[in-house]
Amino acid sequence: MRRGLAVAAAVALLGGRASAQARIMSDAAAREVTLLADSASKAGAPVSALRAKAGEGLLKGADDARIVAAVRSLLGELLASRQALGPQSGDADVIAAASALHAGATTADLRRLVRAMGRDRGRSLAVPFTVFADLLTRAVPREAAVSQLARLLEQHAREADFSVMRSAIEMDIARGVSPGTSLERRASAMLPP
Amino acid sequence: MHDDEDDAMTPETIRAAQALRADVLPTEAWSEAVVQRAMSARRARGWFRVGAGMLAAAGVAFAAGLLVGGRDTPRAATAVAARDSGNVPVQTVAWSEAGADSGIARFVAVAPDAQSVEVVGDFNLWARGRTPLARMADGRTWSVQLPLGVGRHTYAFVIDGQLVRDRNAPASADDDFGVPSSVLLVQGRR
Repeated sequence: MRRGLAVAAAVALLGGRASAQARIMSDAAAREVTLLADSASKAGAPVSALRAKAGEGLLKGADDARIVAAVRSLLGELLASRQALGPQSGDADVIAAASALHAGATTADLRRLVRAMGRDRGRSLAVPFTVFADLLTRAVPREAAVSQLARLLEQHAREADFSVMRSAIEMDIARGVSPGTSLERRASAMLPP
Repeated sequence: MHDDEDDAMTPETIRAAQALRADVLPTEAWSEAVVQRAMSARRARGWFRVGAGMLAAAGVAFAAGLLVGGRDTPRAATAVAARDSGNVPVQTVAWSEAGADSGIARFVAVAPDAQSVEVVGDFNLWARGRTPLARMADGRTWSVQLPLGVGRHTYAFVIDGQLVRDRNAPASADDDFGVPSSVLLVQGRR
């Protein structure tokens, strides 16, 4: 029965078809992924993110051990995000927050951004968390990034504002401006006088 | 914007394609001007009123700016694209337009010699064959648009079976498999 489930999971992970590059996961690995997905489901974490991670690993030719490790690591980040954001948070927020954790953020950073929402609480934080992850990936100092993002949230910045700032910072970095300097300059330009 | 427009070239798609294949790509100054315009479009209470078109233009400007890389010769842009896409002579870009709780993502590749182009990502579980790009009437440009939920999405292009990261988008931090992906940010109208 479990073997059947594992095979079904592997097929599901591949979306019902094998591509030229993707391969079939072993029964044992598929079983582990299924167990991790079950854990995620019970804890209210988005299972789709785990399925996507496994599918990405298969497409990219990773071995089973690496795929299982990546899925397990992501599950930990999703659970930590869910706990930091609270049970009412949406899946998109949890997934984006998990990406920020993966990039070096702390759960305290996540909670700080949630608090910064103030009266806007209940709005999605998926876009700010994504920008946070991108900033960390681009070597923006963590404390500076979370501080500036919290300021923007306190000023009720909109999702489009974060998106434009992200593009502007990417452009600056491509020109050789230091990530920290760019963040400070762009965030300051966005804040009301 | 409707799903049944998949086969049509929208104004944004045309702009992106033109920017990508222009003999002389938009200059860095132009790209900066677009972003500055978006950033200076403040609302009465001090915040921005950024329209979908302006954001799309900012995205294209950003992508084109990166392709130019501070140089304004077509040769330089072509060299960058070929190197960045793993020796595949293509240029790629993706951006999204805001919706209420979802957005419309557009993926465009200029790959005149390709036989097949598709996009894989978390939205299709990285499964091949689910999201092909259609070749446009010009025979050089491939395009697809699809609705995506607000938030963060990772993706890559597959061109003639070869995984090609979109270098005109931020790299994903959670690359667990040694093959980088790109990040597309889909925003809502909030």
